[in-house]
Amino acid sequence: MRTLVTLSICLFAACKHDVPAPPSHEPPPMAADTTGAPGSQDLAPLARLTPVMASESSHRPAVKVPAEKLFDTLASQGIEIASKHQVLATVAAASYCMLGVTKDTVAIAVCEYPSHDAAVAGQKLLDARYRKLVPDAVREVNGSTLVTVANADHHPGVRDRVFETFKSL
Amino acid sequence: MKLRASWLGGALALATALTPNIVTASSHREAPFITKNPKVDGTDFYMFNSYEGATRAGYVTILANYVPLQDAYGGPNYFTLDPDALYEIHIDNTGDGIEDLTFQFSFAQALGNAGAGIALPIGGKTVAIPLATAGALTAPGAAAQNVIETYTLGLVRGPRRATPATLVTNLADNTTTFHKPFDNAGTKTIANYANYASQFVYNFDIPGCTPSGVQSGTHSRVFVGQRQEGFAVNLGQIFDLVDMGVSALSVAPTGNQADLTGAADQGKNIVANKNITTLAIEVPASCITKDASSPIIAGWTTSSMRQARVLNPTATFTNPSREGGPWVQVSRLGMPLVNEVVIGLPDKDKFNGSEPKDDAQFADYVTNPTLPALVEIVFGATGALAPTTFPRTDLVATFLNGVPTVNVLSSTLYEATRLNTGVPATTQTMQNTLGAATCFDPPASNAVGPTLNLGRTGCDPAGFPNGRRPGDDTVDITLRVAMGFLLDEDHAPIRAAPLVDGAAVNASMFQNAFPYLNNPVAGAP
Repeated sequence: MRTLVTLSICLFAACKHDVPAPPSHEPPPMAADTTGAPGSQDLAPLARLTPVMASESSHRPAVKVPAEKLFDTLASQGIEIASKHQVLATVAAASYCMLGVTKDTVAIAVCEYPSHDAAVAGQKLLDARYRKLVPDAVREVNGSTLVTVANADHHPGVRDRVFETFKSL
Repeated sequence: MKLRASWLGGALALATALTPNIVTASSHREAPFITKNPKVDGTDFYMFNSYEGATRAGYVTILANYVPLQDAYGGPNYFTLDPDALYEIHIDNTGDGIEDLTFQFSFAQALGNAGAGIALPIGGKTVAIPLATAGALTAPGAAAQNVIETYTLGLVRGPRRATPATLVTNLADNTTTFHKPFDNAGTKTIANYANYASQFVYNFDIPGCTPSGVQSGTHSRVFVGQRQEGFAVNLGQIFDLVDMGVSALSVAPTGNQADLTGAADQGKNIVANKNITTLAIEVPASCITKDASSPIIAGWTTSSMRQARVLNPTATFTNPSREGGPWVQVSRLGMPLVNEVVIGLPDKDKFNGSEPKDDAQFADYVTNPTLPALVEIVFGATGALAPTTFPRTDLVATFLNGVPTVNVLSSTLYEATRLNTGVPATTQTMQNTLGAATCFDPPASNAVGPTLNLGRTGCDPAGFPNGRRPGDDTVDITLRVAMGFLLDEDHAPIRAAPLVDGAAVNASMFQNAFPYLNNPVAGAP
């Protein structure tokens, strides 16, 4: 029996020293196992939010007034942007969008387009489609950049200064 | 403001974690562990004052749905419930987050032909058939039914594990056994499913209770069986980045109530052709409330499995595994969408195993929710802002405490569906799909908190979040509340936006009688 066991071990392990070792200890590739994953495939598009926004961020068009330029200029003129972050540009048919919020919670959305005509079209799209979502939104285009100012009814001066600054750039 | 920057900054990262877990109905496959156990996956919980007519005045209907996303053609085994699990409906009438009454459903399965299975003589041998039916079914216990599901219904007063359940009596035959109808396999198997299923609505009386406020001679009712999915949602397209802004989370064109049944919110219910299994009871309000002066109750459903399971390597129909040990709760559902879009992924399984009395551990998910931040990321280009006030006391009121002067049971915060049984039921034709959410005046500036106005046009205080009826559009209501419907505009800039998810639901879409949810979609014409 001992001989048989030794032979077996030899056959399956130690005595295979002349057999080339596997190139890697990496497990073989496996198909994705989604059987235990929560959620329905109907909602798979949700998972695309992050890559879509990453793509938008890496394909920004060259525009005369990028979002950062406007926000920096506003800050230099005393309109502090308390927070700003990228938002989904697809909604506005834009290439890239950022949303800045002042300390008074005035919303300043800046969207960049590949052309002036596209920016004008984006303005019309937002005015038509989202009038009920943000009824007080006011929009202006400069070059191929579209700026939306909202939640500013109590701060009309801020809104005016944002647009004055935007048009001057 | 630092807080706002902090949560917005993390929101995009959270979106990735959150999105795969937003699923196609109130709570279908919402937590990782429950996806392994669809038979005990609770999906929706309804609790409302019965509205089918005067004969049922004074009764409360409670529906607990399980086994999500059933395709009607799912034979040959279809969608039986787990005979090794415990399905429960809990009622708290004292406001401490601990159940005062628990209705327990326990299921059993047996093969036809007295347990041997229906068989055919084949070439001189008797051979068991492979199907769950052997012919047309017309009534409970039909001879052609090869898999027979029955259940008992027990009632526990006090903590659910403290005392054994008292089984209720089936008034049809004075036994403690009730039959569950076979699933709607198709019209060849069950020619008239409505007539067939109606025979499985049973009368019973609640042990130890002499009801008041109900019509003399009426009884409690119970039904367990397959129904058409009643939840309407279009969350898939809400965030579908291809359709974004068109059929996605949208805004009713004119912003008025009529639009909710119009083009902006119609025909996009992605679960309309699915079935569900419903555990339904209709009981006198007087038997589940604390007393006549305390009409408010809180309710939720849970399912539990035995802690240990040993698979039988030589499995049989009656003994595929051995279960043992104490009950372990694996699913919990009170208010819709809570574990779906409120609780974070690391805690979803914990939530399913938790009890309302311990809900303080989940408070941050309500006071500092991630869903509004996600909506702001999606719609920020329009200038839309998420609410800016934290903690979100409005959400605490809605989801953890009840609506002031309508259905606050106590000051204790816990997640459950709360119902004021004293609010008269609204008839089917008069129900407002936005329920009690229509009963608030716009808050005064800087006054955080809802202003209840029961005289407001369209106000329907008998609807969600005062209980939940099949016709309440809880997705639209939840979206609007999440974006600040109950806050003032200073703190919630788009609070008045008529957000819709593109999937309409209203009371007329459902039956006007117990068990209210519609007959299931047939597996074959």
